[in-house]
Order: sequence, then C-alpha cells, then structure tokens
Amino acid sequence: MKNIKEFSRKTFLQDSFTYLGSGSFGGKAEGLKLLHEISENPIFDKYPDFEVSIPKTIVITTSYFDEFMEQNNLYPVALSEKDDKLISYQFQKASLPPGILGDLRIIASKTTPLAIRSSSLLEDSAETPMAGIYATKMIPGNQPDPGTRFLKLTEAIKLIYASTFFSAPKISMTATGNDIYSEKMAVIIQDVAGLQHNRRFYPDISGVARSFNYYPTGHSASEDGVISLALGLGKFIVDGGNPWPDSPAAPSAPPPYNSINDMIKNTQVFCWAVNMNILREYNPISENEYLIKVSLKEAEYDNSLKYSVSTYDPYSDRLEPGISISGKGPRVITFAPILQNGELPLNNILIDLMTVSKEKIKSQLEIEFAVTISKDPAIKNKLSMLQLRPLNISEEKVTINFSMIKKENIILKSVNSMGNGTNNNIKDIVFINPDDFNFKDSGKIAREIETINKQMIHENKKYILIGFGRWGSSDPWLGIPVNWSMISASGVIVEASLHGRPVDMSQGSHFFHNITNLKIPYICIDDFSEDFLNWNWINSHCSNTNSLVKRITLDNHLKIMIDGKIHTGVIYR
Amino acid sequence: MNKTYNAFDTAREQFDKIAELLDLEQASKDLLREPLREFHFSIPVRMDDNKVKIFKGFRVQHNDALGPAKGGIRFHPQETIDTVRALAMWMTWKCSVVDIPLGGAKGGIICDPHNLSQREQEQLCRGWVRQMARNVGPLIDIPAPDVMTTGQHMLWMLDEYEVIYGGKYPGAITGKPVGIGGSLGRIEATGYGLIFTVREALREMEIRVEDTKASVQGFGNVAQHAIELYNKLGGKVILVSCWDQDSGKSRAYRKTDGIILKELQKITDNFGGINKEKAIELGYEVLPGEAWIEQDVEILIPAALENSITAENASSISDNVKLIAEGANGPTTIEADRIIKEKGIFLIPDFLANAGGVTCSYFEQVQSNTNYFWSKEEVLSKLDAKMTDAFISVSDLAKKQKIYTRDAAYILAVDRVARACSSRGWT
Repeated sequence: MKNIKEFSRKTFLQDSFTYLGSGSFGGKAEGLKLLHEISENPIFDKYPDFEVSIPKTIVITTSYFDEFMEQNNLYPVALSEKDDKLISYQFQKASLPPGILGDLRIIASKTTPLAIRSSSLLEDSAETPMAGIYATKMIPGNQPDPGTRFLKLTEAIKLIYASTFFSAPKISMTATGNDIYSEKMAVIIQDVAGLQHNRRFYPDISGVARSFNYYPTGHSASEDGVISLALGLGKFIVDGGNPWPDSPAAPSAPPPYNSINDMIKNTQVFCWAVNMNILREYNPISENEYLIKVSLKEAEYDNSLKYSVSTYDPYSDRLEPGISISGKGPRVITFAPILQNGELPLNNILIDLMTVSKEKIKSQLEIEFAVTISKDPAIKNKLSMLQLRPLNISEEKVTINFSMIKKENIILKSVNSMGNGTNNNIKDIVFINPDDFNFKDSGKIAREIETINKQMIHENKKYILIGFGRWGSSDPWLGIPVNWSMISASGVIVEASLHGRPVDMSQGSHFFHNITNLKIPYICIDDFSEDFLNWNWINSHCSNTNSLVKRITLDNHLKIMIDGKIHTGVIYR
Repeated sequence: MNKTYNAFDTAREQFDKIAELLDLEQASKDLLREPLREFHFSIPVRMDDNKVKIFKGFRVQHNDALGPAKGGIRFHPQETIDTVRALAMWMTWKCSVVDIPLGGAKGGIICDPHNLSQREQEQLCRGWVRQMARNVGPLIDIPAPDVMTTGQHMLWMLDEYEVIYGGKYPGAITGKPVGIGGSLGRIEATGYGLIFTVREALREMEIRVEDTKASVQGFGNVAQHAIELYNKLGGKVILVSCWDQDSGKSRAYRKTDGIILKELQKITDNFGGINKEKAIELGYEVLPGEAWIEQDVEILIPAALENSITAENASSISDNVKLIAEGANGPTTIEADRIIKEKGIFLIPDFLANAGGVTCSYFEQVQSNTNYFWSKEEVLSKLDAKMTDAFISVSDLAKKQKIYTRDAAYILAVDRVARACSSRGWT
C-alpha cells in the first residue's frame, strides 16, 4: 500500500494520507486508498501540466467511533425513534475521545477549508451501497482563533457520527437487510479541492466519471462511460442538479438538447462554494452551514468561467466556446473550451483514469473528482480524485420476446431502461396520476411516498414506483425530491414523461448510485419514442382518490424484464 | 526511606549538575539553587475544645521569572521546610518543561487533618490565607491542593481571600470543584497527560500501543486514569499494585490477559486500595507489591511512591521493557537511573510525565481569570497539545545531544528559567 501511515504531528503538513486509531477505514476511505495508489500510475506522466492525486487525507478509523459511542452512552438515543435533529443535538453535547483531541487540535492549526466526510463500513461497497445518505460537512478553517477552528472541526465530526443514526440510513439499513447496530463510522478529514476566489472557495470543475453508461446516445456505447461535469463543488451533481454530460469517446459530440434555448434553460446556472465570509447562521447540525450558492455572474467575477462556459450570441443564434471578446451575451455552462476546443486534456485524463482504475479494481466504477486550474504558471493544474465506487452491473442474460407477450397484458414498455434482469415478485404499484401532478406539490408527494415506503418495509414488500421529473433531485421544480431512504423498498423505478415534456435523466447522484448498485431497474417512459405506459389500466385498479400518491395491490405478481444490452424493459401481467 | 535523605539536597544536586552542563553564570546558579522567597508563619486556631492551638505554616516561592508562582499546599504532620523548598524548586522545573507561564512554589501546614474536625480545618485554611494574602493571588502565586488537601480546602481559602480583597478572584486558587471555578478534565489530567507522553514515546520508537503491555505501580487517581486512556489507545495492563491498609503491605494484582479497569474500580477504596478477596474471586493472581517491576512487559509505570526503583530492584527489570514513564514524583533513585540508562530503556522523567496536573491547573487559572469555562474537549485537547509539544522538545533535545531524557528535560527547563531571569535583568 502506497505510503499510508499513522498520523504524526511532526509531519502531518507533508503527509498525504494518514490515519488515526486502530479500527476500520470504512468504505469511502478504502476507495481513497485505491485512488491514492492509482495516482502513482505512470500513465499520468503524459500530462505534465496536471497533477493527478487525492487531496491530503486523514482518516479517523472506526475505533474512535466505538469509543465515542461507548464513553458517552449514546446508543440509547442513537437507536431511538428520535428525529435527526434531536440525535444531532445529543451527539453535539457528547465529548470526543480524549486520545484524539490533541491530534484534532493540531489538524485545526491549518487555516484552509476542510471537508469532513463519512466513511461507514457499508458505504460505497458494491453489495450494500449507502452512498450519499450520511452527512458531509465543509468548514472554512479561516477563523483567526485556533480554538474556534478546533471547535468547528469537532462539531463537524460529531455531525458525521450522528448521521450514522439518522432516519434515512436506518431505513436503508432495514431495507437492505442490515443491522444498524453493526454499522460503524470512520471519518475522513480532507483538504477541500479548489481555490479561494474572493470570499468563496471552490474548484473550477467538479465531476463524476462513470466507466459504464446506462444511457448511451448517438454513436457512443455503454462501455465508453459517461462523465458529468459541473462548476464548483460536487454537491451540485450529487444533489441531482443538471450537470453537463460528456461522452468521453466523443467529447465534442452535439449536446443532448433540442435547441440552444433548451440548453440555456436546462444547464447549470449556479454553483456551490465554501463560504469564506462571515457566518450567516450558527448551525452545527447543518451540513450546509458553510456552503453558499454562487451565481454565474459572481463566478465570472471570480475569473472561474474560462474553461466552463460558452457565450450565446443572439445575432448568430450560436454559442461561442469561452467568454466572447465583447463580453456580452448570456453565459452557458457547456465546458466547450475543454470538450470542443481541447484547451485542457481533461477528457483524456479521465479516460486514462477510468481505464487504470477499472484494471485495478476489476469492476466498472464511478469516480468523483474536482479540477483546480492553476493561475500560477509555476503550479500545476490539479485533478483531485475524491471518491471511488464500484458499479454493480448485472451479468444475467435476458431476452424479451414481445411476440410471446399479449399486447393487452403489457403495462409498460420502454427502450430507455436501465438495469438488467428479471423480477416476478412484485404485486404493488405506487404512482402519481399525471392528471393530479404538479411540480409545486412535489415536496408533499415525496413525504407521502416516504410514508408508503415505510409501510412497505413493514410489510416486507417491494413495489413499482411511477412518477414524473427527475427522481432524487433536490430541486422540487425539477422532480420529486426524495432521497434514497424514502424509496428504499422500491423494486422498480419509473420516470414517466408528463404532458409531452421530455424526460431528463440524471446519472450523477448518490441516489442513482444506490439504485444501480442494488440492481433496481430504472425505466424511463419517453413519449417521443416507442415507449408505452398503460395509464388506463393502472387507474382502473385504483380506488384511492384522496391522496396524491396512490397504491394498488394486485392479486398476482407482475412480470418484469429488463434487457440491459438493448436498454429495453417491459412489465406485464 | 533513607533517614538522612534530604529532598532539598537532592534537588540542589540535580540543579548543580544541570547548571554545569548549561554552563550557567554564577549569579544564575546562586539565584536558582535557593528559593526567591520563603514565608514561615504561625496560624492560631481555636479548636473545638475552645483552646487555641498554634500551627506552623510555610510558603516557598522558588522562582517566578516565567510568571506567577504555582504550587500545592500540603497538610502533613512530618512536613519540613526543606521538603517544601525542594518541591517548590521541582515545581519551577515542571512548569518550565511544559512551557506554561508560571513559576514554582509550594506550601504547607504541619498538621494531621485526620485529627481535625471540618471546622478546625476550615479555620486552618482561613488562617493560612490571612497570613499569606498579601503574597499570593492570581498575579503573584496561585496555590492548589496537594497532599491531604482537597477542593473543599481550596474553596475555604478562596473565600477568605475574596473576603479580604472584597471581590471575586476565582483565579487566586486552583483545584476548585467544577461549577465553582474548577476546570473540567482536572481529575483526568495527570493520568491522561502521562499517557499522552507514553503514546508519543512509543511513536518515536515505532512501537504500536496495541502491541504493548504495561505494569503499573499504584492504583490511585493518576494510575486509574492512565490505565483508562492507555486501554483506550489499545494497550493492555497486566498488573497493578497498591497499598493494602489491613496488612500494612503493598500487593500486586495480575491478570496476564489484561486487567479490567472497571471491575477493579468497583472493589477499590477511596485511597486506591484493592479488596484482596474480591480480586481473587474475579480471577486475579495476588503477588507481593514489589512484583510490579519484574513483569515481562514493554512499559513500566511507577505511579505511587518516591524511590520505588532502586539499585536493588532495577536489575530485575525485564529485558523486554522498552519504556518507563514516571507517574509518581521521584520514583527512581540516582543509582537506579544509571542502571536504566545502561539497559537502554527510554525514560519519561517524572516532572514531564506527570505535568498534566499542573498544566490543567494553569488552564483552570486562565478560565477563572476570564470567568469563561471551556468544554472538556477544549481542556483535554489543549492538555494533549501541551504535553506532546513538551515531550517532543525533550526527546528532540535528548536525541540531538545524545543525552538521557531526564537530563534533557532538566536542561530544557532550567535553561528556560535561567534565560527568563537573565532577560529580566536579575542575573
């Protein structure tokens, strides 16, 4: 293993990867260990202007979590039904183990932003993914008083510990047949990748690279992979925002939008950054305490858009890569200076990274990363690898023979299906009637789904979930803002188009990762293709008209087949 | 103990040796081998039988070049001024080695509190303060509990001080109970501080704590908290020894797969004495107290008495022992020191290893002076940082000059004080 050693106060400023305690590293930190090794691969020598590495990392192993829980007698409150806030407060009041406090004080002597990240035992494993359900907190580390920095660091660690026992992980653990009591949390303390721009700190680019593309378009193949790119912190992507999709085999391929107007409307219009300014509200139990949204105008003021925007020229009705000479025209986040003009070799670095990583872990995978463009010629640009997760691709051979299925028995058919395999064990459908749906109700709908999901867990049943917009988006106007724990008992997820509105699938979120690794089929119904969803049949079986979210339970099991090779899925009775 | 033993003579011998190594000027030597100030006074107390008894009190301020003097107040029937002088000097070096801005002092009253009622003890405390009020206080000299004095005694003393000065001065005395000017973490401080230095020593030797076993002499507050933290870090204590009041002897309790602290604490009295019968029921092997030093362990922690490691028993130290951390004051005789050095055992000297207590007292004083009290995490993290920094400074010096760690610690401590005296123009 490459140079991973016990934390030392003498050398911690130079050490790139250290650990504290004698327990497990947890799933996410194990992924970072691999990335740390991968960064040594000579393939990256091809890019002399880029440093490919992981940010400086310190892992607090699970032995300190055990000690923290025991010395503060926290299991009764942690395992109780109390809500997340109350659990957080109790954890904030508890004391961290004495053996680690001095080291934390030394770590807090740094004055740069730190990301405090979860790394639970089950997190990021292929079999029981728990991606994105635990807390991450960024702290600015710029308070003049070292005591304050130490306090903020300890608050963040306690928040990560508390998040082990939030309702979302509890539900997810139950739904995946795991025991919450056996879950343990390591904590990763990492330098935030990026640079300070005025009073905010963020990377120029963040992204998720997947070695396998579930929705290949045009001439690209699934094995080409797909890369989601965004400006600023990766929170934008993992929260289900609308990052730029790059097909690494064809980075300059036409964008997946119907028109420039469509592109302007549906691309990124803000990014996330660490707030280096005065704290607006003290809230140690909020992950977002130190995060701020940065508009494109502010980002341009920060001189951060050079490689990420195109400028719209209304006279030619075209997008010009970069910021136009005149400086006029709306900015659109397209990453065209990199993907079309090749001003930075990012696409090639990511292809190489995915190739060597796949060889290393012998699996399809996804990697979260951030890119910092140096403004100083003497300092290299940096591609910081933040997370590695294996992707669980089903190898089952499925052949759908539509000639053998009576047309009137088909409830759903789609050529935009993700996943692979068969399932004949589902009798329940949970859905929203398109006539009742309005994006303004999406928050309420999410809560209703959560309630039904809990009931399903109680009944030990799986269900087909049918809704509209982008599942898992944090923006209620883009889709239904569920997190994975709210739909954890679903066996199939359907994203239907609404009133002719085209579907807009996300591939970057933790939500999506959990669905794919649990091999839950994700089916899109696109009205503009040969897809089909038999609403009449579904509504004819529904007697409940009061709630927005409806549930029907059939007498017989439905038959579900997804052929991953041709992205075709069918559900029939 | 040797009847002719004079603690102050020993303290001065130690100083003289270091002064030579540092090549101190004569004025510095003369200043530092004697206390700056001594107070000898009488304390009249009206006893419960209505008769007045006169008690003899002392306060010795050895040196305050680095900051206000700091040291405990002892109630002891065999107290001597030379013992108090020696202890005051050692306090100067202890504060200096951990780099806290305090000087060294010590005080006491010749008395046996076991024979005094609570009221009489209160009068004694108030009487001591009435004599010393002009020469102690947050900016001059800050007393603390010591042998046979407690947080209650400190509160009586503080109250008297505040009556005299007509205000609130919580920083005038440390060792107060939590909630009335005391600091969180004070109880754990000495034991935890000891283990912080043990951890750092093991790191330097590239030995994992989890791969070590320890034998501990003593089972009082310091030993118990040291064992607690050492266990948390992954180490295993296989033996503890303690004084058995009934038999008038010390005994050792051994479990080769590791003692269980919590179960022993349940059968331990307030003075750290373990119930022999119950220990046997729990599966402990009972050995003579002296057996603590003969164990086949990596770490020895003398945390009970002075002069516990002597020329006679030092040769029985196992070849496996890599580290001795002196939790008690003066547990090693000069002759034993030589043997330990020859054996190549890493030694963490007493005034560094057990400086966690005074460091936390300093934190209490800071908190009291600002009337703003820290969380336990704040206290313990600062304690760890201080102790670790001090250890690293001593260890680095020892390595650099290829000298014994005790000598390195003394050199560092004496040099700081001597420089402060010089900078102030005293020498």
